[in-house]
Amino acid sequence: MAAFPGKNASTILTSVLAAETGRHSGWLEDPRARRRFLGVLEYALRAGAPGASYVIAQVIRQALREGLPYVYAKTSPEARQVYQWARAVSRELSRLKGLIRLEPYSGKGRPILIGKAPMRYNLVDLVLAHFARRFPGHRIILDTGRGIYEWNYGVRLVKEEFWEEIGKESRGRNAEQCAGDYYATLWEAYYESQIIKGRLDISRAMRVLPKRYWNWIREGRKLRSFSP
Amino acid sequence: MDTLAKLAILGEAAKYDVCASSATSGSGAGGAGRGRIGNLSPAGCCHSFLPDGRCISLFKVLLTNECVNDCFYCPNRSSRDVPRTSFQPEELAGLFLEFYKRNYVEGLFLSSGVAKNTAATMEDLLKTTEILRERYRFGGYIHLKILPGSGEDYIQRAAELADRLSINLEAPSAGRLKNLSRRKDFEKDLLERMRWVSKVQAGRREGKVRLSAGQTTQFIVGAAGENDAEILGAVSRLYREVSLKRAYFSAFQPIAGTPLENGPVVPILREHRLYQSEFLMRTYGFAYEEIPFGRDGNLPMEIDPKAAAALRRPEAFPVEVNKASLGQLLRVPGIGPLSARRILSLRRTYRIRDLEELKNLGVVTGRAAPFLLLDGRSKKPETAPKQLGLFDLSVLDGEVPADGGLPW
Repeated sequence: MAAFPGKNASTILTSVLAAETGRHSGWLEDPRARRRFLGVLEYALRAGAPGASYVIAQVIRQALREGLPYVYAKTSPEARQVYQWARAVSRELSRLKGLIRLEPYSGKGRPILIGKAPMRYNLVDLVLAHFARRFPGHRIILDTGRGIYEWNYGVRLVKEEFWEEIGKESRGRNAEQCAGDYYATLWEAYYESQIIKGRLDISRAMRVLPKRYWNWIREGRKLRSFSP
Repeated sequence: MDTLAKLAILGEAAKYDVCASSATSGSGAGGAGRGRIGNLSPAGCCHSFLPDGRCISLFKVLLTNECVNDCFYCPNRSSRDVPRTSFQPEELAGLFLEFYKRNYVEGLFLSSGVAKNTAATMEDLLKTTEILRERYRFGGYIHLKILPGSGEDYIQRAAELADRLSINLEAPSAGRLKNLSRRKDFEKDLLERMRWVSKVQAGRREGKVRLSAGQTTQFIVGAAGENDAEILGAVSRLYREVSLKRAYFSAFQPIAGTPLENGPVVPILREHRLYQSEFLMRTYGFAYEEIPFGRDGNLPMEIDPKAAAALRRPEAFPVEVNKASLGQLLRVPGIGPLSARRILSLRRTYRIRDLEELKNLGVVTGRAAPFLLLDGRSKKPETAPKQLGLFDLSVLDGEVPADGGLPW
């Protein structure tokens, strides 16, 4: 410890790593830069592509040797690939946050909000954490088709008893298919009211919201009626 | 009238109001968190899209479409024969919260016609917002419209409750506004209120003011006979004088039963060009004088304003990617603020040598290549750029070199 007075083990490790790896690895000592870089890598990993860990390891080596801007500039094919994965995951997460519809239930204890969405990538924890922040005091349940999860200071699988509690017929039902939800009808009426006929541009609508998402949302039927 | 019928009427009545983004990261006084329902989204979030591709992020609705004003363009003008209705503040707040819980919307954009008088309607608008903030403890995004002629105390209270306030100017000057409304006083009813909002916003850090997304305004494009230079000139002044966050533009669409029903339909492209130019001033640091208006004071339709501005200043190009300043890079077509910053960052440790590297940084190389040098050399993109139409110099009213070609 005498060689690094006043530093903790983490900073010593970072300093040694920086000294050992290359002249452009100073970013290792900048917590914000580290966090941002790790965020990109985490998203890329979530894409679940075969061989991802090998490519990511290559990118980490490049970042240590050449510096972060080299990676951010996607100068190498590996960095480009990692960014493509990360961007795809980030786009999907943004759509999940916006397009998952929640169905309110009142069970025992806290009010419940149930959402259903098939997921391309492993984003259950991020989506649940988003809704948990948004609706404090609520129990957030997410049905991905492969499993049913809830947020309770982390992701947990939901047990069978939960369905007894709120009524078994709810299981597997898409929130948008709930005929009894008056607010879904109101929402559809509202959506209809916002259409300006003089501005119709369905090809642009299809670009910003690809057709595969139309099944998720009740107003998808309306969009479909305009599509060629 | 039941809620469904009211919603259809009051949603439709608000559909021409524009509120593109709810992105804000600040929370301000009484903000998100602390056990409140709802949060502010730092990057904006689209919850649906209309068949024209516009994002729906906010529940955009009028409290009432009853109105004592006579604005010539407005579907809610007093003399127009349309079904009139109103939401009660409790009813609207409850409806919004149910929409929010189902994740249909990111926040609320609340506007209104002037039912009996401005004060009474402002009170109802504020009451709706108070119910959301105080009874339902809603901590998410609210954009509140300030009615023309509202009192200073209403503006103060609105700033304590809302994340964004807006007052629609509709026209760029008092003279132009007279073509749209007999009752509204441009200076007193609108500009003075915008100054009050700015004053309240300036004291944000000290008091209870929330207003994390500032104030905005909206112009109806083409209804008052104004040109683009007048609109963007007004926007430029508002940035300086009232700290305007951004301006919205709505291409005029004639509405049956209004005095302007036979007015010309304004092409959506004109609205688009105004947005592009406003972005240049707000995000790219362009001065108003750099915006490339034609002799009639309008923006060229055939070419985007940034490319037109670059073609008008041949002496400023090409710029050397490895030496150019941020301002120079931002004036190159195909380079945006993010890619310009990436270039600056990469240049510290690495010399950029080819277009592929620029492409990876997010530069649209097809557009940018003719305006750039890489290590002192001009490089052509491998594929022919789609934007060749950009060099259709006839659109620039002859204000380009007589040789008709690029200057390098």
